[in-house]
Amino acid sequence: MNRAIADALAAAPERGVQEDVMVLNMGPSHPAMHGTVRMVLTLDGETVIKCDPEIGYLHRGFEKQCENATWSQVFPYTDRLNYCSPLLNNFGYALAVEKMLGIKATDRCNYIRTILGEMARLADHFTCLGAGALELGAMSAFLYAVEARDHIWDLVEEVTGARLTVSFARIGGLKEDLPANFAERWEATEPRLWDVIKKLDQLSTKNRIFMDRMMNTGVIGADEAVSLGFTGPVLRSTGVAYDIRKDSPYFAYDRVDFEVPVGTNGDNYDRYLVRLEEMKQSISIIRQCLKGLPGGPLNVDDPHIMLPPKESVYNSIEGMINHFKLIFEGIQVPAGEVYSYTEAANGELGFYIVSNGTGKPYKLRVRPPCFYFMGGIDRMIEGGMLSDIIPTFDTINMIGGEVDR
Amino acid sequence: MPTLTINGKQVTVPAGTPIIRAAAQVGVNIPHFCYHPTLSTPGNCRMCLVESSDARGLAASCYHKCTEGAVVNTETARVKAARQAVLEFILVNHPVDCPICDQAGECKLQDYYMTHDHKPSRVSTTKNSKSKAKPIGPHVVFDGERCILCTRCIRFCDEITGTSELTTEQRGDHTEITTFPGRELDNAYSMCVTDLCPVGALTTRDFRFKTRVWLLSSTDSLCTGCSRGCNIHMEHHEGEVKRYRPRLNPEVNEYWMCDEGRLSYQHHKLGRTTAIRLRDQREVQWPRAARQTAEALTAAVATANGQVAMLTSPQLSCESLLAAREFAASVLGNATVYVGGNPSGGNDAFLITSDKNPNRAGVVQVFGAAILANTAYKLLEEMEQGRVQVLYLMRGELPFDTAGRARFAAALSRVALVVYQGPHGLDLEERAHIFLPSATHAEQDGTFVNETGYAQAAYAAVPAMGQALADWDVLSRIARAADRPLSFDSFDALHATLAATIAAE
Repeated sequence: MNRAIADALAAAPERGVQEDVMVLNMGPSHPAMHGTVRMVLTLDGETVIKCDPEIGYLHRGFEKQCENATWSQVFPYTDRLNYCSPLLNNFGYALAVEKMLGIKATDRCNYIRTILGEMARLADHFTCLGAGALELGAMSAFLYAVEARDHIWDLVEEVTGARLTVSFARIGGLKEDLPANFAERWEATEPRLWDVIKKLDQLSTKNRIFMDRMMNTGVIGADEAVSLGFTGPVLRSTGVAYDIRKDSPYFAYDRVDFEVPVGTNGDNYDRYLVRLEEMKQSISIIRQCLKGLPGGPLNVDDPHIMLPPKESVYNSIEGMINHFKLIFEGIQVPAGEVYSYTEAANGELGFYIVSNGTGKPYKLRVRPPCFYFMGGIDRMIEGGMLSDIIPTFDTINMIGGEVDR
Repeated sequence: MPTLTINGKQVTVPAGTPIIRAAAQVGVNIPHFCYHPTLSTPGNCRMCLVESSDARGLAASCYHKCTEGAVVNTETARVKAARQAVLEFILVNHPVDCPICDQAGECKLQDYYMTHDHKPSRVSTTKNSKSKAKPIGPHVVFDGERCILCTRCIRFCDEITGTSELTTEQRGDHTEITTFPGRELDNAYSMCVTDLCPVGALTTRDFRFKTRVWLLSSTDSLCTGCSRGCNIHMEHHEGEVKRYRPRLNPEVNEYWMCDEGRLSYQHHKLGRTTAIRLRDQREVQWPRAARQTAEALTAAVATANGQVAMLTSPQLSCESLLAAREFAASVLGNATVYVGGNPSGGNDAFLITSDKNPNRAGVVQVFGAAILANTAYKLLEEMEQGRVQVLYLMRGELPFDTAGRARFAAALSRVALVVYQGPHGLDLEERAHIFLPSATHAEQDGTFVNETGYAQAAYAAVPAMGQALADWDVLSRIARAADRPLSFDSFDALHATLAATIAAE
């Protein structure tokens, strides 16, 4: 496409650039550019002939910072990867280090991680769908979705003490068990979520304007999506049923029954439908986990990994020493390397970790699902209309914290 | 020369070697508290017990000598159980002090608990009360509750310094380390006991509550307190040197260093003057400072009729001295070079030498032995007789008594141009026409030759304070501004030149 325009301009230079194409900067400070991303667009009228996405405005040096933090001190950093679903990042990282240590979390911990993870996925999808509708002009859909997200965050706050930056996972377990009344709280919350899902469905799915904006826009084919490294709802919308929860189960996903919804067209509308259906599946997973929640210990029983209880730290020298060594030297992770991956809200969230046998990561690399979407988004946008960028950029649900790290 | 097997590995050692040394040779680390290679072995901590085929029970590897054909095992269930029991017993009376203990982070008890015990205690008695935070000497604080009674400190005072200030009193779990009545732990090496102490029972009063040790970074360096050149770990945090700790060098200082040298780390901060001053101008940046110094020197040297002097110092590294030699020859127009430095002081038969400068041997190597005749007194006389028009001072340490120092200060007023380059202002900063701040040996690389002729490297540990620069850098900038650039433009080049120069001369 670009080559063709360049050739055409070269053939007839008297027509001039200004008359034919316009270069437009979209972002980094643009309300629909979710955080900070710039797209350098070349427009022919309203048709996008070239899209050059530029990332990096939210780079914090996450991976480098981790090399100077103990294994446990990395958790707060992971909160800030995909900040729409911090719990999923927490658990993904904990799982990676546990793989490295060769330990397995307890049954109860796995179930609770599944429950909280699905809650985070729900919050993430609500945010994505609500914001998407808002950007297409459906203000009320956004308000409903964000209300539902708030209900989930209330629950998250009840469990973790924080709404967003939760840092709730621990290597080998969790900070705390679920509060005693969690199941009741969930019972009260669940119908409200169903309400909102239904309302979103009614407001959007058969809405003429919504359908016109979403259908056959931002299309990507299955083969291309696979070769670009797409995962998550974006890949599944093309018809590829790749879901790590099914294909390589972890936590309690092999013990619950759920469907992996897939689309057919790989367009914005299908991505919307996939997410809508996934939310229903998430609620079902949470119900099943709460029903089958096993008793027993929450955390692994290994003093080289878990901090001792506080009363032992304050009252016995043994506990004090244990606490001290784990805090200032960190958990001693044997030398080696590991790639561990989980299904985050946007797709495959991978942690590639190298340890040199000390209390800090030697190298920690994140595979954020959105990074690969940004590598291929030009193919979904080029050839389409300028206005199609808005729903496309929303349904890939790029999160700056995760892409730029 | 018995040959024995330790954890399946064969090793041959000289007769009389304890198992713990033989094990170290084959890479087997046996935990220990009371054993120290240079001290006698009472075998009282029982942490180093191992299974040996030639012993009836478990053998204390610190004094059990290697015998021919012995089979030693250091990791059997029996040995591990013994270690756990030892640690459990020690911890019965150990206070929950880690958060307020300076040793936390470099504490053998913490390390061994994590690696060898890691079990909750089965004993629940009230912990014994003993002396807390009791100063037992000018530099050392004692905490009886933390003490595990390894007696390393007692043996150090008996066997290394020969001063025998310390002993134990009481019996059983009431035993406590104490000084003999009427005495205190006051010898020239008293702070070495804090290095020896495996726990936080003995800590230095100087470092107390200053920095948590796991925050410290360590750089290999030297003590510059005297011409012994004790090897040290220079430990620093956030660009500030926090303490010196002796670094093992069997040829120079073994495991030790003197208290005065250990506390000399303070000079990296105390009394520093780190701002350039050009006559009455302050807040000057280096490019202008170098240019104006060069102009002043060039003009003054041109009219000085050869009456130009440079005072170098055995406080400087060989690299700085070589840079000074080149500078004196070119920019200062073959100035006469004199040698300053700290006045001599007391010495002892152990580590402390009377020359309180780290690099007099280096001065001789760089300038030749004849230079030593050009003493600071000679310079003083020249100045008093008005035969010095231009004086370039490197470092302000001068080998004078109080009266001599006053004479020198008065004589400075007879010199037309005085440039003083040094890390400390001393009383010279305001008397010089130009003051240029330079780095201490913590802030620049350098080679120092000690009294016995060992050339040893000290590496830059922290960034130079304020406007200070490495000595060679100061000289190099002035020389460049004077259009007479020196033959090197980096420390590495200077170091290579030094090696070549010394090899050639």
